[in-house]
Amino acid sequence: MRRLRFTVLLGLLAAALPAAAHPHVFISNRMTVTFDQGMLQGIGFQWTFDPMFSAMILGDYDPGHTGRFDASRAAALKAGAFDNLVNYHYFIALWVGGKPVRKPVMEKFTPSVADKGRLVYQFFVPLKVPLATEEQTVLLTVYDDSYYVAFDILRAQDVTVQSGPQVSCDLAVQKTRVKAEWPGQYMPDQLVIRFKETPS
Amino acid sequence: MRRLAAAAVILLIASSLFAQEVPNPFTAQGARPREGFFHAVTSGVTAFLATAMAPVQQSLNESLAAITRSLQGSRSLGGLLFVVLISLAYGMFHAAGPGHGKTIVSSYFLANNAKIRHSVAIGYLIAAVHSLAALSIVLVLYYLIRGIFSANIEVANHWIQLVTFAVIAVLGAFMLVGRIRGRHHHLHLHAHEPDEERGSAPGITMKSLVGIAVPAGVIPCPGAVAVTLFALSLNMLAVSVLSVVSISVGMGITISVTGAIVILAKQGALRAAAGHGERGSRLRRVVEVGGAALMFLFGLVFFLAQL
Repeated sequence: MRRLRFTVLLGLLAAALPAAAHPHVFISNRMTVTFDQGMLQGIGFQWTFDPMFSAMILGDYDPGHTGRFDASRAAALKAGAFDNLVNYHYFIALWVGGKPVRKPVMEKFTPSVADKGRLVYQFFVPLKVPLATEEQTVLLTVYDDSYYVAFDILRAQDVTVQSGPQVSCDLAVQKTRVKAEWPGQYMPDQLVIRFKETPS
Repeated sequence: MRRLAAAAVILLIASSLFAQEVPNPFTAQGARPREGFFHAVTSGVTAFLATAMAPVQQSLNESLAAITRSLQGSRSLGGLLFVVLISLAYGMFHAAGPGHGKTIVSSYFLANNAKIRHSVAIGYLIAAVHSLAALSIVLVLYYLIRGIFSANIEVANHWIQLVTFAVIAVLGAFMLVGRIRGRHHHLHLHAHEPDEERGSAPGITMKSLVGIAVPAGVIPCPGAVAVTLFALSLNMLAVSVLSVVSISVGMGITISVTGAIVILAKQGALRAAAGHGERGSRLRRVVEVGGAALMFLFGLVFFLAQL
């Protein structure tokens, strides 16, 4: 009987194994929340890639190891190794005032190379939410649910706020609270941006 | 207890159906996230392990890159040993994730009279097949075919998977027909010689093991491709061969262990059911036909997903 219990346990373990993670690309994500001209202008993203994905993309789009991208190289890289992310909404899920932003727009895509041959993508997601004296909330997750890409753990201290004197902005990280689509659905952590206009 | 054993096997079958190799969202043109019921279940099941494993894999990835780079200047024996060990660990981890290799091997072992030694043998075979496949694909794309590697590898992967899953579906279909026929045959015999130990499945030969190891190992693991390419980009062919072989051996070990677990679970369940007369032989038939059906369905579903 004990032997059977053991084999049952082993069987369950084998069943769980195929479900394990399989990320192949690792991204360190830094964000900048930008206020300007009485608006939450949007959020800037800076993705620094792991050495192996970096080597593959740089080998393709910067074969001479110049460490720089002129306009045509940057355009080729964007077409070959970034634009397809529109199908994945750039792994970004956004809620402004409780309403989901179905298709986030991306602008100002800029590739670069950081030290030790690391590929860096920078881009900006405009939001243009006018400031008000009452508090407003933007929620944000950055997450690939196909498990191909793993983002580092979301921490409020990795987010920078660029704001003027008449803005108060608080950042926090919390468990995602939207309703799960199915029982047991994984909910990545969420960045909570609370902001309002403060009279000078 | 028997019910629990059955539940374990069913869970294995169900979860392996969701094991999938997804394309690189950055470089595979036209790739989209998967949606629908299958994806929903996969996400629910995999999320916990996904978050738990990612930091470990990331640190392996970083260490391997750092050590490979350090070997560029001086080839120390210690450094090479490190590459071997970390690649081995990397391969073991990667193979633990969703991948078709485990599913094919598991369903094959469920459908046949497999012994532990067969799971050991298939581990070696898969390591050899995967080393050769991953290495030759990367070398051909890197040195012989001009163009964008990151795009070409996704196209190559797509076609290799399409063909492999078709082969798996055909193998599964043949096996399924064989098991269903074998079942009738067995039932017929049963009246004359009530021998519960005899299965309906034929024995496993080296030839049939190779026939399983090829489709189970031929699809290059994206992790192995990344590691190989990384060493090549530093002009270190020998190191890239060393690490792809080590990764493949690591994968072979994990798949071997999974296969052994399946065999033990099957044997355990059959042993527990033995001595219950008709019920024991019925369970064996269910497991064997189920294993063959799993392989057929798995191949078919993933062939269709690649179209």
